[in-house]
Amino acid sequence: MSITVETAEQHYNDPAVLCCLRQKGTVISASDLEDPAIFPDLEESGLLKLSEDSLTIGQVLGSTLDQDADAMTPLTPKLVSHFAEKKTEESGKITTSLSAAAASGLNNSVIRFSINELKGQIEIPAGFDPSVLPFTIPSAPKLEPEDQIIRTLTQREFDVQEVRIGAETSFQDKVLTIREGLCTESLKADPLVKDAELDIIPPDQRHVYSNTIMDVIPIATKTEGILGEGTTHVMRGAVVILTGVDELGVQVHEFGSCEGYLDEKIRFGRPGSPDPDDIMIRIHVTVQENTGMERRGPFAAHKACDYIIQEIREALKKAPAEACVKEDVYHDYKKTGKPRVVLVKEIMGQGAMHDNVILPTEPAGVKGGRRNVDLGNVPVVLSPNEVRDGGIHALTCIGPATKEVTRHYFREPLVNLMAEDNEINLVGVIFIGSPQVNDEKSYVSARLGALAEALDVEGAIVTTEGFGNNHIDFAENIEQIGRRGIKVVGASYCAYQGQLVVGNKYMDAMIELNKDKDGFENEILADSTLCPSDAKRALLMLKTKMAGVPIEPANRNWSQDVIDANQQFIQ
Amino acid sequence: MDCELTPKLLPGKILEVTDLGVKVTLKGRMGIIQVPLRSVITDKSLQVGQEIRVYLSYIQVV
Repeated sequence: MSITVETAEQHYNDPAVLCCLRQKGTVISASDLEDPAIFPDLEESGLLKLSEDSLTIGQVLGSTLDQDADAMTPLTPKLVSHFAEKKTEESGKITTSLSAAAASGLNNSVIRFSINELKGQIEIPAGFDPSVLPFTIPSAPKLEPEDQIIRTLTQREFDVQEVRIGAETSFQDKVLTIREGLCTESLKADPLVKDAELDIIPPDQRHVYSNTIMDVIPIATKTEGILGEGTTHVMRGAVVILTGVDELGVQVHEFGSCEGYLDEKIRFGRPGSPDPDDIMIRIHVTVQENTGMERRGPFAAHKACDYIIQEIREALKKAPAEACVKEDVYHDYKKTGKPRVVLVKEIMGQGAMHDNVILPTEPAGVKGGRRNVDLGNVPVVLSPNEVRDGGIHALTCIGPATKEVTRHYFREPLVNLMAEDNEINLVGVIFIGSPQVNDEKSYVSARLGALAEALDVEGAIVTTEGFGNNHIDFAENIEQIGRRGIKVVGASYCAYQGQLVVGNKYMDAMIELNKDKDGFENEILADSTLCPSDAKRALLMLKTKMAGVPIEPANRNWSQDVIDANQQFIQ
Repeated sequence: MDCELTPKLLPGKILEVTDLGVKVTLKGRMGIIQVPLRSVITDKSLQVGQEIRVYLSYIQVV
């Protein structure tokens, strides 16, 4: 198919190939040429063979064809006349050597301008050395506005060295005791919950069988203020994992289940997964038969789990401030004069476990929040501090290696990196759901574009968990932002199994999150989720794009070498 | 919507064998497929746990 003048300009230095049969004497224009974007496909299928003496599009435009030639014929000097010579790189180089005038000492001479309208004359010394001007230039005051703090969040971490089951729930001297009858009581949270059990898995005894991991939840609670500001207490060294089956023994998240031995099924140390030294508090919930694949079943399991965690939170609230081992202070800033950017996190919104609780009352909790499916999956803005304070409780989509669990949002590497970066102004984190049906996807994507426009941002990073039909929204979200002139970078797992099914011209700066050597969703929890190294690549990519530096086109197929090469820029 | 659906060679495992057909689970937890025996090509007798490979893409509703 022929190309437009605009496309020809974009591919000025790419080989010129005829798109159709052309007769001798044709004066070559863009409409006679094939689109270089499809050359790799044509070469792969054997339809096209490019030779070394092929002329470029820039060279052949306006030249004359000397003989009849078929479609898919690369144009060479033998076939056309009056083509332009290839410009050598030297001719375009900008020299930085001193000018002859400067070298010959003309700095002290004077250039004199006569002005008709004004009386008198102005003398400006050549070379513009201010020290020889007949007057002094007042130095302009440096205007570097200070970053303004909007809100402050203090997170105090408390070490947990042992977890026991006992008569009362308490947290003292780094020992967490959980009340024995708490699980039975948690059934009150939802009538669909038929059973709940709890056991403790120390770091050295992880080779135990587990039903599917529905979520990894940090234990954190507010002691002062609301989510995103004030003070939060967090347990370090202990984390809750929620597992679930229905009464028939079918795994909740059957499609995305990762039942098996815990030491084999978890990539420890990822932002979302338990750390290598964490004690795991496993809460196993059984829901009513055949509700594991409905929206109400998984949510009931999360509610029961939250009921148990709430009693632990009440004990954690009482921990004395001086007993904390680490105190982190996070600010939400208003940074005047720095480029405004936004982080867009696409979350699942197709229903059942493809859902998230937004802004619960307690950090990473369930109660008090609203689910994105109920909100129609429209974009919702959270401040960076609200995200870091557990503003998202994930009901956790399927695909163990690529799903983002609650702990992932609590420790989201891009939020931290972008919020603390001194060169940009992260104005907010937008959470947008991914609905099932395509026209709903278009509806929410369009709202995202309008929101980005209203926020007046210059740059955006769009991420998505999982893969599948949510890649359709992913592409559309990027397009809606990009078409408004905002520079945008995308980050997702794609690799071999999750290759993108749609694309557009704004998807030219993409970050691959895959960590599996064969490019598969390898069923190891959190393995191919967004890690600090991916976050650094994404931010550098965004800064590069915003600075106007061209991004090299991606390879046709997923290649780890590209990721490794890019990784070197951030080390 | 104009999607480019390219089949990928996906590995999987046999979950259930009956006189009628087999039920397989796909790697990456992309789903469970049940097909009649005549849709399965094999040199071995079918058993639960055997590894399979199938070319698959997404389902597009038309």
